[in-house]
Amino acid sequence: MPDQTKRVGPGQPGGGELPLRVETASEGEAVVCRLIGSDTMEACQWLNERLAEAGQMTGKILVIDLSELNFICSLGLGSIVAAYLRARKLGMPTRLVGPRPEVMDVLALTKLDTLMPVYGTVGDAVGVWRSPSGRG
Amino acid sequence: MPARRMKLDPDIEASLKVIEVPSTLEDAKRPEDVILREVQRCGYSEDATFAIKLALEEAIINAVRHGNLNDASKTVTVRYCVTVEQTVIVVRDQGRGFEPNEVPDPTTRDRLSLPNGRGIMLMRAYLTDLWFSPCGREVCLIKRNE
Repeated sequence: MPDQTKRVGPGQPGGGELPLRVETASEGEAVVCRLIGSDTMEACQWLNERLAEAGQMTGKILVIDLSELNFICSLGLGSIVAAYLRARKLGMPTRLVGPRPEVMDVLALTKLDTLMPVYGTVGDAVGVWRSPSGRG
Repeated sequence: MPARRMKLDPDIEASLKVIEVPSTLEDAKRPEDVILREVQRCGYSEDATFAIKLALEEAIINAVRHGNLNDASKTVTVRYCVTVEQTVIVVRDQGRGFEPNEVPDPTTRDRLSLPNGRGIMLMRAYLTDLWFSPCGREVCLIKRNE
């Protein structure tokens, strides 16, 4: 089976020297975006574009994997909220996965963890969505 | 917590180093890199370093986007002093200023799903102290090394 993961980031076309890398893949019914590195202020517009591209992929749930993200600023939070709003228009719920403690603190402080549920793993996020009570 | 008005100790004021950069997020990385190197050299914890980096980015984002309205012909001036006791950073833009106490709470139900408006809240949460100049064009960030 071919690798359907799309990788964009430093040293790759369109990636420049940004401290952030994004891997986007279809995993079953989920569109999974993995954010890797630091989402600093100069990377946020680029992240916004990558998440917008991910929103055009076919799927029933958007999963944003934060387990390899070590920094996020308010513009990065805004990019994630924008992705959530775009997905909601398409009827897709958005789930966040595996934030490190420092990133989780930012999510909790801004209460974005109440807007987008946070799960430990991609499997957990997709599994809960599949169960009848977890949809929405 | 309302934002406090800025009044810096004259000795600290005199010790501040100055970096002025064009008003773009890319150019504003230079003072951030310089300051974070000094923070690291002074032995700040990972948590304190994260806090300084986050607050400085928020101050710069506000200066570039909301103060200077993304006008790259304008400048952002960063003054700073890093010691083993504390880090003081003053960020100034060339915009029209604003009233920090009028910035709404981004965590209320009606504002939670807005993509912006979280910067000042994050600065307040991660810093030891946060002051604004009376005109709102200058913000002072203080983080003690605890």
